[in-house]
Amino acid sequence: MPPIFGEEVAGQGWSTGAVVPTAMAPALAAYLTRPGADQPTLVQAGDWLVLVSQTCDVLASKLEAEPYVEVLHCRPIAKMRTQYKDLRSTRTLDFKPNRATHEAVVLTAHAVADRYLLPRTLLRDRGPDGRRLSDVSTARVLAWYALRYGRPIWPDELVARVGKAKAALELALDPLKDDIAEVRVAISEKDQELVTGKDYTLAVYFVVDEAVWEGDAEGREAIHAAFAQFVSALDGCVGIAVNQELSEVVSGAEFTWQDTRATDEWNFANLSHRE
Amino acid sequence: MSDTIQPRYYGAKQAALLQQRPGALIDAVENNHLPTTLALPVQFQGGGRGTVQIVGTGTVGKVLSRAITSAMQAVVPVDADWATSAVESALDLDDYSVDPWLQWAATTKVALHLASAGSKTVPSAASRVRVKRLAAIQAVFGLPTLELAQVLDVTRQGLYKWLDASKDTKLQGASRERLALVERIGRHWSDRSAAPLGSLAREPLADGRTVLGMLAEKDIDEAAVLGAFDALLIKLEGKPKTRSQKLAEAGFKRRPSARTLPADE
Repeated sequence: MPPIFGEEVAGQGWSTGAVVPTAMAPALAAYLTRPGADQPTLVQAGDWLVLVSQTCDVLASKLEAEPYVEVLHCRPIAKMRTQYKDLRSTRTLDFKPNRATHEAVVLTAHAVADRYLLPRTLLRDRGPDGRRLSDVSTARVLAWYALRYGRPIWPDELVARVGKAKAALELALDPLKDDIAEVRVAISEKDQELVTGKDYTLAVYFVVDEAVWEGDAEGREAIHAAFAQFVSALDGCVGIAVNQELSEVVSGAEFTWQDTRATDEWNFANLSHRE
Repeated sequence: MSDTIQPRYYGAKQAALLQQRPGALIDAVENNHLPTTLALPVQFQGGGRGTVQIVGTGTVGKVLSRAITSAMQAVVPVDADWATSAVESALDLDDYSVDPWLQWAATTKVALHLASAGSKTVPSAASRVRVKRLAAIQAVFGLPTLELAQVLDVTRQGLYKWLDASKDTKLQGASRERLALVERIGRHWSDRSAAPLGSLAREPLADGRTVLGMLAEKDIDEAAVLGAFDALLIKLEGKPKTRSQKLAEAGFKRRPSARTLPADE
């Protein structure tokens, strides 16, 4: 009985976050050529060619089910750039690949320009590099892709108006970093590019984790203070009107599926079209 | 902008004008005694501060005064006919016409913000403390804004202003006392429970009243409210669990979001 393809790949040690050895580059040349380019992309010794396909796809039993895997060509840079770290941009990501094994290394990659497809057959005969992304970095890269394709599309005009208060809004949301609340907004004119003089009307909801709502008075206080600061900053934007009657801090146990469908999750990546 | 003022010499229809802090400007224009140059302190929406200098004199009527904002170093017309009007975005006096007030409100908001562009909102210490106190009250009571406004004996619009740290709202004596009383009652509740008073406040007590009703009275009977807390705590114990609480107890935990990823630096 012939070996199962996925098991052979698994036996080589491939999974999401694994790094393709630089020594494999010559065999990859045909797949690392950008459309219209004469020469394949050069993968330098310090570069990380990271496998970003989900492990279940990398190890799929039948080759024909998943004939290709996706890799991301990450290049080292001197230091993290504020606008590209922590998923602030859906186009470019600066990140540390593995604090435990490569503390000083910072990588950067473009979501599309540095993404390539490789035949999965290439993984059968050779294992990954000694380097690999940490679990946190792997989760970060996957979250970055999810954000890029899952975020709602807001009107450019809305983004431009709100973007001017980005720093103040970001500051207001600082207490929510621990995932104790999620910010959701309803936008009345979400598909329209409004002209100057016409306001976008937003309703803002801070949806609080039920455990915090029911048992953490200090957490709730921080959330209410953040809400007041956020709404003030948002309402202060030219061309933005916050519907204060509808806006509120609400328990996650009360915010319904219907409410979720009527709102978008607030994310600063939603404001990143003007980089 | 949500501030509303009513000038002294205008009817209600004309008076419902949105304005930030036009008092000195109103006085100057209504009295029709504008000096050649008059510097007026102005607080722009968003917290920026600047000075509007009235240049030349205006007549109450269709004639416009010219003003220069020191922040913008630009000439802007001020409509002296509408004594409460703020700077207009139109810069050409000849092109200016008195528009319906809705148009005025929209352009004024833009103009005020343009004037404050570049200035950072720096709430005063008093405003920050006020918002912090209110946030603590909201955390303890867990009431929607309308009901909390009733408890604090203020309008909903008033409460929004209190909650906006960029506004230097000064609480008057009665409001201050009410806030302190509600704060004190809230502390009693939080000493006894980490849960918000929230929906329990609407539960009828033995005498048919609710704590929310008691808190919304003009004169709060503090002792009666505190006495009712015992009954509410019993109701809290018997409160049925929500679906998500049952799921959590059964070991089904919420999937962490991408925001739980540690910062990368």
